[in-house]
Amino acid sequence: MNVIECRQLSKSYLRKRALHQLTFSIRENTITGVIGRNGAGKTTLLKIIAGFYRPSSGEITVFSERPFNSMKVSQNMIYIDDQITLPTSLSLLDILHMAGRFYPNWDHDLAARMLDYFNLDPLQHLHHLSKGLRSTFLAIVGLAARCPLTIFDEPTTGMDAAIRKDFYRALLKEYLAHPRTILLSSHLLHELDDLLEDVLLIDRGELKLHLPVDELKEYAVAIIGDRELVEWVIANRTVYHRQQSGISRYAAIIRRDEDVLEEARQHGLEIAPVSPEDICVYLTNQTKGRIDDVFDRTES
Amino acid sequence: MILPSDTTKPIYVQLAGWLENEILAGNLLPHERIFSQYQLADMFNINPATAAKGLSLLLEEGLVYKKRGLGMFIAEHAQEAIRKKRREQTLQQLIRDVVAEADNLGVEESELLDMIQRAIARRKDDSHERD
Amino acid sequence: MMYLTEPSLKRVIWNQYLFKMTALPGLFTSLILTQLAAFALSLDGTGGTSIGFDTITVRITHFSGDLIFYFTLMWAYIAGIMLTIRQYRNADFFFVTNRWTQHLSTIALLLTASLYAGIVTPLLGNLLRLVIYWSHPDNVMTAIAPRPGELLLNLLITTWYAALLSCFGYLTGMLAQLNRVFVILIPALIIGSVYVQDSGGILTAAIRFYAGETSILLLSVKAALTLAIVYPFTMLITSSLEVRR
Repeated sequence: MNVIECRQLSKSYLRKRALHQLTFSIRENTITGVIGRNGAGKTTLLKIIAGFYRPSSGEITVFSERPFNSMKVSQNMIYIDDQITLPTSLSLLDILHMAGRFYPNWDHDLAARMLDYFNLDPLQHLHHLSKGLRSTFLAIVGLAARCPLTIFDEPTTGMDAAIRKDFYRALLKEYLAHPRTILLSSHLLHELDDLLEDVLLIDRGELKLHLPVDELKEYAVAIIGDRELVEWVIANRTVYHRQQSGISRYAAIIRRDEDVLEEARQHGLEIAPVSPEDICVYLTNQTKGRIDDVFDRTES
Repeated sequence: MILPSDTTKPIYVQLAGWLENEILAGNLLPHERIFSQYQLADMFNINPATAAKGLSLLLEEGLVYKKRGLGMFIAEHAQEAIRKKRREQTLQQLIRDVVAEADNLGVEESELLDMIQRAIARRKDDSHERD
Repeated sequence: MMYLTEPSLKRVIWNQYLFKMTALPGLFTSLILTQLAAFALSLDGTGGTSIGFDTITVRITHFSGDLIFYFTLMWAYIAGIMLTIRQYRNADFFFVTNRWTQHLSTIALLLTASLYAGIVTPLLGNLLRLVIYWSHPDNVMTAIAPRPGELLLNLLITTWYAALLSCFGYLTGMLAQLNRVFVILIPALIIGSVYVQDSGGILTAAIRFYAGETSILLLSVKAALTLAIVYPFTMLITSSLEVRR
């Protein structure tokens, strides 16, 4: 059952093309990571799904309805990012009570206990909190609302590593106890790859990949060893990245191919996995050359 | 709980390995219900879909069977089957690797056999000391 | 589908209304402050003349609740604009809403505030009369005691005017959201139309349409109709506004 269906979705502004011909679907009760660089279009996509933005062209349905101006979507969805501002006269407790009025699945006890655990004073006001605590509070609201579609857009901004860990754990426990469809966008894929089921990789407004994390983990391999030998073994394959580290450690990263791997093993070359985060970085590479080139040039 | 960090194998494969170890060690007995994907997800802090994949590996090899609506249960001869599999697959693979590595390093066949016998002897000594 | 909740428009509008009432107390406190300021200013009199001949000089000073009334209208217009700023509108979308329920709950809020103004303003006007009377015990005064039903009349009038002004404020603010051009254009039009000969007629005619009305019933009808046309118009032209920071 697909909660979100997207076909040739595009969004452009006066001069910029934010999203281009995206086609994908999100299954019910899955945790999908929306990954991409800054400005790739992640937030634009998530806000279109949430019904905040209108698509320029193409189709998108959430719960079988067009999300823009849809009461059904708004009722069953919550969108959390790090930019949310609420009227300053409300205390954290006020916000929790308000949320309880709007969201029928709201669990107030859970929210209160989490507030206590993270040392948030319910009588404080949102705009007085530090960035990290703000994110923490908003994340708590997002979880406690138990909306069938829960969207977290960079929810961990400002959170330190310990709190992030707790957040991911809380997310998992909530998901296990009350399954729902979760979209989670983050820069920190390496922290998430056990938590996610699927990954949606966006690059410059286009859909680069949509895969289960397990497949993404085996998408590419690194062949390591003597430079000439490595290059010979990989022959005409597409290379995502090359790197020389150390005297005899030359690595080339290619799409996983059993034939090439067998060949490599037989020649005594080392084979290493490529983390999902790394492969996403290589696939979305847009820099001119490498950072080293900036420094090498100044030397001459 | 944290799975031993073996970055070359996918999580679900490691999970299946851990479950097999539990069966081998006798912690999971035949016809007992094995952990559900949700329990495993909670225990190892992973997505339940990944846990499910690990379980289905065991299912494919006949080490567990499904009872509709009740979950998965350890098969009667699971322990033996795992032992047999490990002996054949794992040990065979290890032997293949050793032979290949010895070849790469230019170690002679006689020297290699010698090293193996010494390792066996050492292990026997260690286990005698413990008893 | 996993336990999808069917939204109830009425419930959402009510909850949004409650949200705004609790989250924006400044709306009402700003009215109090505005009126207190007007009250204080009115203590000196809102007009006066001086007549003199031979050895006698008569100084006449007007006191009225007019200033309070006009300040209230100004507050209403600004309140209407204030509710259209992005920060407040975006906050609604944190909870459950669509553009229609957002408008309707805001309109309900403005009408509530207008009624509140309608109640408080005449009372304050009366208070002013009392204060003036007591602070000038020896001077001749006229028209101190309110005529029967005057309080109720003032309540209705003030409420309608506050509702109208806040409605236009809301329209102004929303137009500005649509296009920044309006931020300059609307004040320019208003101020400009006062000076330019021909179009000066339009604005004054518009004001006279309401202010010149002597029947409270007809005023109510005119005002209600205006609200019934302008608010839906505002809602329609902004139905595609995106939730942007």
